[in-house]
Amino acid sequence: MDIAFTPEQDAYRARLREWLDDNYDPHWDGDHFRGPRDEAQNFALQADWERKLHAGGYNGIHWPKQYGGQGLTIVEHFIVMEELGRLAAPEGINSIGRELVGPILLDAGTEGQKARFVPRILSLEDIWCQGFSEPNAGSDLASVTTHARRDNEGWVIDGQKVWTSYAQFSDWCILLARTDRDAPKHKGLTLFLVPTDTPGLVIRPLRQMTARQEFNELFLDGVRIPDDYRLGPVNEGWQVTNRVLAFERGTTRLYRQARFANELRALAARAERSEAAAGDEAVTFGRLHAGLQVLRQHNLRIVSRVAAGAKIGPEASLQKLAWSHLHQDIMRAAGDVLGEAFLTEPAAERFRETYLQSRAETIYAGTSEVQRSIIADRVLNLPRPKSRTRNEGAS
Amino acid sequence: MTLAFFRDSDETLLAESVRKSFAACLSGRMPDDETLAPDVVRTVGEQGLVMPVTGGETGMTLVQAAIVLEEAGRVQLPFPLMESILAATAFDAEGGAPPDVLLSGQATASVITLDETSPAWPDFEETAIAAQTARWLVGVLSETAGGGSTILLENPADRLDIDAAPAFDLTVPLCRVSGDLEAPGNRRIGNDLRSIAYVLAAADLLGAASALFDTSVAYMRDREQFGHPIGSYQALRHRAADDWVRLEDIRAAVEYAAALYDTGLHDAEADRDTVLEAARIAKAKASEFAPLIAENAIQYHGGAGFTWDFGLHFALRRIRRLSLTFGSADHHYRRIGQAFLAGARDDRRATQGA
Repeated sequence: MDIAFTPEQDAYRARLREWLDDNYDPHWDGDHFRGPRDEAQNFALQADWERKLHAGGYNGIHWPKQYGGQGLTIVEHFIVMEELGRLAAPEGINSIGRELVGPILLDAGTEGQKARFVPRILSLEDIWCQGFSEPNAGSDLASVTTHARRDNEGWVIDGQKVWTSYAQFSDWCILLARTDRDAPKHKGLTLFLVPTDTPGLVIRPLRQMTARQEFNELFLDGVRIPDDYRLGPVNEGWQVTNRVLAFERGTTRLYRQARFANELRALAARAERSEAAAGDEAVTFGRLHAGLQVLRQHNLRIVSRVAAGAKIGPEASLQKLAWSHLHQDIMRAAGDVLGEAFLTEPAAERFRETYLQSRAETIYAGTSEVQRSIIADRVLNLPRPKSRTRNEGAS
Repeated sequence: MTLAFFRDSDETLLAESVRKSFAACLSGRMPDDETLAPDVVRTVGEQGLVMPVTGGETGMTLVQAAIVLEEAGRVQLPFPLMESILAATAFDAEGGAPPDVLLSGQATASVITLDETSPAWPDFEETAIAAQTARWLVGVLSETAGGGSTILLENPADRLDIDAAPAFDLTVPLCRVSGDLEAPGNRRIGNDLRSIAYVLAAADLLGAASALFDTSVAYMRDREQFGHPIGSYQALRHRAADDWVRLEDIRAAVEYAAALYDTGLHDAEADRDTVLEAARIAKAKASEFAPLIAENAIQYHGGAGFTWDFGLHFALRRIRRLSLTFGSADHHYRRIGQAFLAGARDDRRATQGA
């Protein structure tokens, strides 16, 4: 067992810290933690930051050099994620591109698709959104009904998608559509790459409970795309997606532990000024800090396993459950610790909005209930429920 | 050398061989079986399980010691193993070799954690296991300002009051130890054994909880009610998934604290506070979650789980005892939180001063 970083890795972290000292601006923690309320301004500010990261060589850390990545390992990726999280820097406006589309392209794309799309994800020339969920296909993602049919050399797509973050700012959408209505539901799905300015595609913003409008509904009415924009084999979209997501679920949220730690430190700094901060709050902070340390240990475990060449499978569900519920615990504690100041202090806005935002985290990327079913099926090998022959998958 | 936060092949081998030797030793007997004692002593001696935690050639690493204790917890080994390992470590810290009878398991030690800041000091009254028969008593000063130290004393039964406590954990005799620690004959040892004690107690908890959980999962696959295995019902599947997550939390915390301690053994610059915090996290997580896992295990087994002969209660009892000794979950969370809040205070002063 070895939990130490190499001297080279420590030096990499030190250089990154210097770079961040010189380049990290504006600061997103404190009162400006999520940027301006105006979505367009907010988007522009975050996009600038992500371009700066890319120019500095801190985007696509463990992606191949030939597709615009840095060609380093998962350990350097982890270091960058930790340092960005420590400053509560934004996770990036193109996270769907980096965390979903890029990995799927690298796994299942044609050489032409990889060369064309992957570098433009990192350089932010293309921003991506995800057209997976539908009004009647949430946790049960495999029952999507959006339909793509062959038409000469291409495809015609009809249907509706929902919970499509940042679609209004996106150039492309990765879309999961049914291509065989007669096959079992997991075996008739295909992935497509759809330009968002294609005629017939309409984007309508959807306001979330935080009052922000990052989500959208997507309506597709006779949207025509060439076959070049099909990603992976026909009718294997579900298999491709799950193979990649099982892995990605373990490695894409490494950033979050460090950002939550930033939030807990900020809460501790406010706690002492609060009237409500009496009593046994040391136990509360001790429990949450311990939870964050254990979350980091799980991160180290996953990073170690990937660095050793292991494939991450269902144990990534542990990661998803751990970070999402811990974050909700921290944000609930913010109210308990601050008392009325949580409601009234202008400077507590970070905790108010994040409290609301954290409710989404046990829902998206596979609800907690889906994660528990994955663990029960594939880690514990418990018997499958009689009403369900196949596992829920990922979204 | 690269990041490898998982067991290497030697560590896996150690776990397997210790597990095998304990299984052979118990050979199906319950951990309160009175015929066990000589076999347990022989196994402990033959396997060389009592060694100082030094990381050097004469001892073992804390990662190795934690592996041994996890296996001891799995079978609820009726032997004060972590206590004897702590005594061996105290002897080693003094610069002397641990006595052969300690290493062979023929003579054993008992451990108490002492609060030097308590008003009654140096009078004390603490809970320990197997103190009546212990050749040595190790007093781990738990909350000394500026870092702990250790008291080692011989033949405690001759010099302190030891009263048997009600039998709750049936795998080791619990007792109350009281007296005056300023009495002559006590050896003060500079070394701080707190991190070792917390990690090894947590490892024992991890092992006992793992064993109960494994038994539960197997039972849920076989046991049928309403015409289906009970493990196919979501109420139990999801509860079991949560238990598995808790178990992995404890495992990560124990292994990380042990590995961090071992890193510090070779690095004089290592931050002792960080090591102690990691050890507290391990003990706190284990003390919080192991009882939950154990209580759920009884529930999964229904009526069978509540019977004496099914034997789940041995692990439940041991887990409850260990979760309340060497610092409860709340005790350690409070200490961790106090240090965290003090750090946040210092951060703010630094910011305001800038």
